[in-house]
Amino acid sequence: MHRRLLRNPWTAPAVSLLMIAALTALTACSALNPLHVAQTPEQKYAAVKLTYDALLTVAQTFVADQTIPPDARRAVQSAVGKSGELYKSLNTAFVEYVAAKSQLAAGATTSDKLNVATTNLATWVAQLEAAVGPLAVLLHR
Amino acid sequence: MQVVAILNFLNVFTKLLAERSTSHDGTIKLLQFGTKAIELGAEGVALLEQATAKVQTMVDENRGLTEEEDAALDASIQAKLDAIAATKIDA
Repeated sequence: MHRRLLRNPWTAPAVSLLMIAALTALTACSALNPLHVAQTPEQKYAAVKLTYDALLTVAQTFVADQTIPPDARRAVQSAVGKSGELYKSLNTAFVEYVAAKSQLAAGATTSDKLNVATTNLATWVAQLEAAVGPLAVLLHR
Repeated sequence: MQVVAILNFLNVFTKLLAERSTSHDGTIKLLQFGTKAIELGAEGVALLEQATAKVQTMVDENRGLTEEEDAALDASIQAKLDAIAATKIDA
């Protein structure tokens, strides 16, 4: 598969060490998922935003680092760009959820409206979470 | 999910290996790149630890983000989105 790899005897052991270290970091990331801790819709909204903010911090360093190959930096920049629209939709869904909850508390609407807003919010939380997963993988390139 | 993420990572890494292991210089670049990836991975782990701790505090206090916390988080995210979009990446 990688015959060129065999030409340099130092490459394989060095790469093995790198892969072990990077995989350790990746496994640790999987165990540290704020969304696994969150319970309510408000907490899940907070968890996905905090996760997104954390990944963007790393992504910002990544895309600005000229020692990293341009194709990898472009891939991260593109993934972040695509996730931005999902982030806006998440914020809109949360505003609608809060409004529906307030209206229900004031007796100005039915629980059906809150249920719709809650489902909508959960959908956008899941969509941003799904966008964040590949971004986390890209950042380990 | 975790297995898929690891497989994706391995796939990307082996492709990079194939592209960059043709010379001594390529090996050095790969090592520099790998070191950077590990540094960033460690930074990401630390940030996710902090985020998990914040959410755990919210669960313990039975609340979500306050308006001020949400506004600050929005500002932080938007600033990073803008900075990443504005970064010029030359070939």
